[in-house]
Amino acid sequence: MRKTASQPSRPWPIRQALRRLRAGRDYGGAYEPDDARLWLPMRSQNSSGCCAGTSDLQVTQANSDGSAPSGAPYDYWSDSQINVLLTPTSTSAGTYDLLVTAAYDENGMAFSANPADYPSPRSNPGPIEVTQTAAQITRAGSTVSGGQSTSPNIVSVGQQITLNGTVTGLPAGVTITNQTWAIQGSPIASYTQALDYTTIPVTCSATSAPLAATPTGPQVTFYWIDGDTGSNTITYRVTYTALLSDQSQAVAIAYFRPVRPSPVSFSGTTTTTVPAINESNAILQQNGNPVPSLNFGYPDPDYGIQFNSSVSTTYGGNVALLQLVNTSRTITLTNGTHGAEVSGTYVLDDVGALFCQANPGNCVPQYSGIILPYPANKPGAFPLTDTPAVLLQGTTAGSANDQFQTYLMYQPPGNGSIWVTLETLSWSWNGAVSLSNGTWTLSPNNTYTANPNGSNSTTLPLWSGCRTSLTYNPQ
Amino acid sequence: MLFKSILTLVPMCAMLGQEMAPAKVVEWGPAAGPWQLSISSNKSHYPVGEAIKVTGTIKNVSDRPVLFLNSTFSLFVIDVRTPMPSWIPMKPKARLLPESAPQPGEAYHVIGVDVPPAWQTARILDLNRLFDMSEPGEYRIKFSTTQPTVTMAEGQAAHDNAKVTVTSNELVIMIVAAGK
Repeated sequence: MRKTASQPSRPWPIRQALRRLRAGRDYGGAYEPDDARLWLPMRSQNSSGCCAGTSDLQVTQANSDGSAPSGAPYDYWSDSQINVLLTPTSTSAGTYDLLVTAAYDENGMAFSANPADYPSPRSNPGPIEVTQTAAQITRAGSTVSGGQSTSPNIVSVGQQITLNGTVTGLPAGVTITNQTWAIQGSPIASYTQALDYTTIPVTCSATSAPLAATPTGPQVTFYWIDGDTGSNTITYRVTYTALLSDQSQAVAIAYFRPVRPSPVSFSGTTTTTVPAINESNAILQQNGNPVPSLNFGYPDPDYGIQFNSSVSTTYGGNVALLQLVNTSRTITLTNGTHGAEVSGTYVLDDVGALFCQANPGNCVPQYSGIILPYPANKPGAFPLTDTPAVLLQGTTAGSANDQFQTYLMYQPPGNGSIWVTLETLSWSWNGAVSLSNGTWTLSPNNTYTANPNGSNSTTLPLWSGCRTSLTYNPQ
Repeated sequence: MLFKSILTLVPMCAMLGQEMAPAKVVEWGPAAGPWQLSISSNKSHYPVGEAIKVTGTIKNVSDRPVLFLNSTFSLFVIDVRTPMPSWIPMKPKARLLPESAPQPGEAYHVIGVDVPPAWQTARILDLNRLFDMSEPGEYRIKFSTTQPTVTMAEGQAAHDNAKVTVTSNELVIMIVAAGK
C-alpha cells in the first residue's frame, strides 16, 4: 500500500498475502462466490478483537464467475486461489491480519491445515503490512516539506538552496523511476562573476544560467534572486514529484519565502558646478604633474556623481556597487591621427591590472574593488563617488560617451551564495572638447544625466569584457 | 624528462624558499593624519633590466572612517633618486621613461569612498617600466600620496576636504650589472 501526500491511495492486490491463507485449499471446492459469501475480516494487530469490515481497507472481490472486475485486474476466484483487491484509505497504516471466513460452517466449506484436522470456518490469519509511501523534501538534513504556505521556510535571496527529495515507505519491489521539481519564483541555477588578470587574455565575464523549467533528479540546487521585500506576502512553492515503478506518484510540497534586503534606496547626486563636463588639469596627475583631461565633475568634494545607497538586511552579508559601461571615445592626436575606442556593448568598469596584481584577494568585479560587510538587521549606508575623466595629454581633441549601468548588489552570508541585484541606476555623460590656438573649447552639445534615481531590479549584470582591456583603433 | 624534472624541482624550491626566508618586516613611513604608507620590494638587488616591482600600501591608521580617493590614473607620486657618489649630497631624480607616458584618450576614474579604521589597499608598480634605472648603483625610492583627513560627508559639509600628504618609508635598491 502506498499513500502520497496529495495523491489518492490506490489499490493493492493481496494475491501474495492470500497465498498464505490456503491451508484448507483442498477442501474449498464448494467455496465459490456464487453460492457462498466471502468474508475478509481484517483487524489491526495493534488492537484487540476483530475488525471485520474495517473501513481502513475496502475489498473488491472477483466477479461471480471468477473473473476480474473492472478496476481490479488481478482479482481471481477458483477452487484453489482467491485474489481480491484491497484499497486502503489515506490513513491506513500498520499490520493487518487478513482471514478468509466461510459463510456457513458446513462440511466442505471450511478450512483446515491438512485433511486430518477438523475444519474451521476461518482460515488462519495472514498479516498484511500496510505502509504509507510518502515523499519529503529536506534541506541540510532537515525536513522542509509538509508545512503550510502561511508558515513558509524563510531564506535569503542569493542564498544557495540545495534540496533533496526522498520517498519513504516504498513497497518491496517498487522503485523510483523519475524525479522532477517544480519551483515557483524566478530561480536561477548559477551566477558566476570572473575577473582574473593572471590569464592571457584577461578573464573578465559574468554568466548566469536559468534553472530548468522542470529540474530532474533527487537533488536540486538553485538561487532565488527575487522575493519578499518586507510585505510577508510572497511565498513560493517547491514541488517534488517521484514517479514510481508501479506508475503511482509520491509528491512533497515545501513553501519558501526568500527575503530581499529592505528597505533599500539608491540614487545619484551629480555635480552642480557649471559646466559639469569640463576640461582641466585638476583631476589627473602623472607622478604629481597635472595633465589635461576631459572630466565629468571636479576635484573633491565636488564629484561628478555621488552614489547614495542605504540597505537594511535581515541576514547581514556584503553590499557593493558594480558598474558596467558602454563606452565610445575618440581622440585626435597632435600629429593629426584619429583614434576610437568603442566597447560596442556593456563591459565591466573594472579595477584594472595594477590593483589586482597588488591586491589579489580583492581583485573582484565590484566597483573599485570595494565590498562592504553589512550587519544583520541594521541599516547601512554606502556612499561612493566617481569623477570619470579622459586623458587629453598628447591630443588636440577628445570625446567621451559613457553610458553606465550601476548595480547596487547584495550577497548574503553562507557558502555558495551569489551576488544579487537590489537596484540599478542608469547614468551617462557625453562630452567633447577640442584644442584651438592653445585653448581647450568644450562642445556646446555636452550632456549628462543629472541626479539619476535607482530603481528596484533583479536583473543580474552580465558582461564578457573589461573596460581596461579596450584599445584605441586608428580611424 | 629534463622538463619534467624542472617541473618537479620548482615547487620544491619554492616551498623551501618559503620556509627558509626570514620573516619580512614591513616598514612604514611616518603617519600623516589618518594615513600611513609603506613600500617594499621582494629583494634588494636587481640586475639591470629586470622588473623592479615595488608594492605601495596605504592604510587608515586612525580610529575612525576617512575618505579615500583612489585615482585609477596614478595613486602614488613616485620619487626615485639615482646613484651618486657618497660625497655628492644631491641625488637627482630618475628620468621618467617616454614609454611610461599614459595612452592619450584613456579613461580613468577618481573614486572616493569612506574606509574604516585599519583598512588598507596596495598597488604594485614595475619601476623599471616607469623610470630609467639602467645605471648600476644604489637607488633610493619613496612614494607619497595626498589624501583627505575627513569623511566624505564632513568634506561636503565644509565644502572642502582637508588633506594631507603621506610619505612612505625609504626603500633602497641596488642595481647591479647584468651577470653579476
